[in-house]
Amino acid sequence: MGFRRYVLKRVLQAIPTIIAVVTIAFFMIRFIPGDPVEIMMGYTSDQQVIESLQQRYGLDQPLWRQYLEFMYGYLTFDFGTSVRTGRAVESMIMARLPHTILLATGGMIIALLIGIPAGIIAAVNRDEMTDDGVMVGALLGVSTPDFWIGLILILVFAGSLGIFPATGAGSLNDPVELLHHLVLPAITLGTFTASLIARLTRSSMIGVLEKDYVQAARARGIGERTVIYKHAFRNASVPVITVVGLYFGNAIAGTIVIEEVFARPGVGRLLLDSIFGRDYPVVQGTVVVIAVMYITVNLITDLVYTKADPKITYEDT
Amino acid sequence: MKTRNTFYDVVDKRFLLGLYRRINSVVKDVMRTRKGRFGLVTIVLVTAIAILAPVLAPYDPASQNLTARLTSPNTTYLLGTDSYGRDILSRIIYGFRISLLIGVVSVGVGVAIGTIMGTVSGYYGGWVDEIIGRLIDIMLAFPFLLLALIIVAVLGPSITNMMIAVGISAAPQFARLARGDALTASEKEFVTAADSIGRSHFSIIVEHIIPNIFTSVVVMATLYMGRAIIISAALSFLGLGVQPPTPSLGLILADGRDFIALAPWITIAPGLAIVLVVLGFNLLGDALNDALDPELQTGDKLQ
Amino acid sequence: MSLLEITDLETTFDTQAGEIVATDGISFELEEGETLGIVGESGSGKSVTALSIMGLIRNPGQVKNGSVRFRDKDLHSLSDRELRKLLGRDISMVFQEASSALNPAYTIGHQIEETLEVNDYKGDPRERAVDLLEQVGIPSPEENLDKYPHQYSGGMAQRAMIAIAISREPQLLIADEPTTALDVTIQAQILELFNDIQEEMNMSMIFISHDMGIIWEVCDRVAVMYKGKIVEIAETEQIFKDPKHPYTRGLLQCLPQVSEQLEPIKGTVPSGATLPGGCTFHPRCEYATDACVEGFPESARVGENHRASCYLYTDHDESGEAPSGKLPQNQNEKPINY
Repeated sequence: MGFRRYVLKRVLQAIPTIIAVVTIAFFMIRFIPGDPVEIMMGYTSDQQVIESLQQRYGLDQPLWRQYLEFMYGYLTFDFGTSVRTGRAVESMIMARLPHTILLATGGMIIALLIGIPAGIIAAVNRDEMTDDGVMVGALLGVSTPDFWIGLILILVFAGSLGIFPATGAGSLNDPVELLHHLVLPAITLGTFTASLIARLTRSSMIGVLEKDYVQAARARGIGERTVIYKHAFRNASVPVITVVGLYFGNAIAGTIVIEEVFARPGVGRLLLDSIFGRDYPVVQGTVVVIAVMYITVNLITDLVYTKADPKITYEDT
Repeated sequence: MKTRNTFYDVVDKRFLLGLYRRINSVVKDVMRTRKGRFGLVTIVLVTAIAILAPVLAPYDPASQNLTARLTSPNTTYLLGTDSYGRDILSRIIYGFRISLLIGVVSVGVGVAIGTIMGTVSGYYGGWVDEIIGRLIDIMLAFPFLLLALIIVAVLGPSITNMMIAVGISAAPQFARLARGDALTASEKEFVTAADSIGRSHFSIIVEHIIPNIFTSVVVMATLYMGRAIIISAALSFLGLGVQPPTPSLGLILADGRDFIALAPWITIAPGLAIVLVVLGFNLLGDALNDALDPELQTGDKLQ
Repeated sequence: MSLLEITDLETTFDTQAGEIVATDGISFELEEGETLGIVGESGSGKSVTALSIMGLIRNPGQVKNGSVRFRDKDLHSLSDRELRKLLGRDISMVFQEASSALNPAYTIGHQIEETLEVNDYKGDPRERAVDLLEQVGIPSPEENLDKYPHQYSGGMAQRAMIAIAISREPQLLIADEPTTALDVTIQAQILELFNDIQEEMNMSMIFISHDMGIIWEVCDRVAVMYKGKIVEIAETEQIFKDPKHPYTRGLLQCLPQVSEQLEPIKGTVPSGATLPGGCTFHPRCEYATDACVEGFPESARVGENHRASCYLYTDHDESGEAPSGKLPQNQNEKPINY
């Protein structure tokens, strides 16, 4: 089987999962005790308003019909309208998506830039001071709540030093401003993941550094740096790639809290606002979008992984 | 011919003795490492603080002293006060209680649901496995935090609902782990042998499968304690978990956030308290992992 | 002057069980164009000797003592960078299992070209790589260059490994059990390849093996190692015709043609941390005396270019006469080629 067919197969396999996600989003609000419209509007609205709203949201229809219409809506990229703003949910999400993607990507870049070299350095200096230092740092990194790191960064860099802004995300038209606003949130989001990546890279590198081909590369006269960063790391990266995808997925979810801390206008904050505002169509839309991003990232990782390891033939999987 | 077993027939003395010996040897291995000693000491310490909270706390965590609002740390209030004039140290001491309670209950819920799902799935196989397997996959299609958030959003914000939500969100991870282990164990000869002499499925599961999945579940549960405490703190921080005036570490942080420039101590101290608890569980989890699975000396299960 | 001169090489490893001495004061010389075999059971320190020469012993191992002179250079006094300049160009190595000594992430072609490039090859590396694969007998080299190691069979991988090792026509090639992982038929082909290359390029070789039969095929001279020490060293024919050390006799006994005359070695190789005192071989030696328990015998001349470390010979003068009374002479002629 060629790589293309393998890609197609994996994409097709993801479809039922996405359908399940949309289904859960649909039933989710039906599990909330009480009538959704009443809850959404508060208890003060009169009966007529409620009925007209029920009609508008199709809540007077039988459940299967509502479900099919909901599904059809998501299939045609029509996520309904917000109860609070009256705007189309998909356009509300799309307006905020860039900030979330920027944050998740920024956090991941920082995590990789710190985590991988730290892990490699620890592995090369195994059981020495440097290794101990990196491992203690990584352990602290995985034990610290990210939103608290965010608060401390705000305290130091936005408050005391005043170098970076504490809130907001900047205008999408101004790259410098965007980046300026991105630094603190990205570090906040990246710390936890960097620690995980450092731990994993270290253990993977330790395994690879004992391999014959590393010793053989030295025997061929290749310099130590090239031996470590090219020959050893290329092989050690395979297990790292698999989890990096998983971590990236978790980083997408992590943006929810970070966006709240830094008051960034992203999808995660939209989700929180709509939960508190009982704006259920928006809750459904954001949940689906975040979950689909997570699934997509995992899918891409899987494909990159198959490419990264020449030993994987597509027939096996 | 199938015989009916009561629980006490199944869990006999030999089984308990074996379990005790096993735990004993693992604890010895754990205590031999720096990580393990530090982790265990931290957890014991935090637990002691939590239990002795009424004795240790200098003030009632809820009592407000409006004349001493936002007081910086001094000899009267060692860690200062918040915007209602409540003593931060006392609130943190009680906060340990809430954190540990949340950790234990939510991981307990996760382990219970997850292991039952996974064990049944792996042991019976066939269509049971097919259905539970799909369910696990779908739950895993949501990131941990998002899943917990959705469930809390549906159930409504409260400490109980949050513990349920975090527990359910962790369940698929335990289910996947238990399923794999149960599958391996169910293929072993002693299970076939037990089946052939007519032991009931329940007794086979309790006697042969559970002990086999026990260790890996314990390691993961320890590592998930830390995660559950962090996620719960985040949910409380967002207003979706513990509700005021209960003194939870996440809530103190949420309070402190509004006064971060004015009274940074409200934010700094509870954060460090969370780090301490989580670090304890992560260290212990790492040490357990190393002790039980010497091949993987990394704690990769921590994700 | 010899191409390679090893003096009192001592390499140790720190383990939880204590320090293990892997090579214990090894000395030998290697002339240009000569092939020296190092033979011994696993754990005798053969591979460590090879890695010590290459300067590739790493933590927890270390070269504690002795010197390795290559031409006019003391290899162990060179910096890591200077040493790497020699490796791959003047000195190269073929590892036991080619499939694990080739990097699985890169194509064979890439690995050959990379070796050429880091060793300042001036021509077109791709062309040279094709020539090399042809030289080591890999069919359709153009096509096979772009394959990954896992797509090669064991024999092909070993040929590719040899191609990499000889890419810069080194003066010294160290081969560490290069045929052990291979089938007998392929083994024969690879040995032939080694003989051809050695003749063609007139390089020196150190050929490590546990198999006396293979040593016979390729080596001019043999050093027999036991527990980190060279217990006997002589020209190949001499060793086969007239083995002096009881251990050498035991090794030769493993060959079917010789086995009828010699007794098998009893016991197993002791582990490094629990080495017996005195001559490390004494617990397994049928000629062991009290002297063997107490001290280790100095290497003594037992014939022309023939030295052995055994108390059976130490009381003998340096006249070169082989002692007669103590050990039965090995009567058979040199073994049949195989």
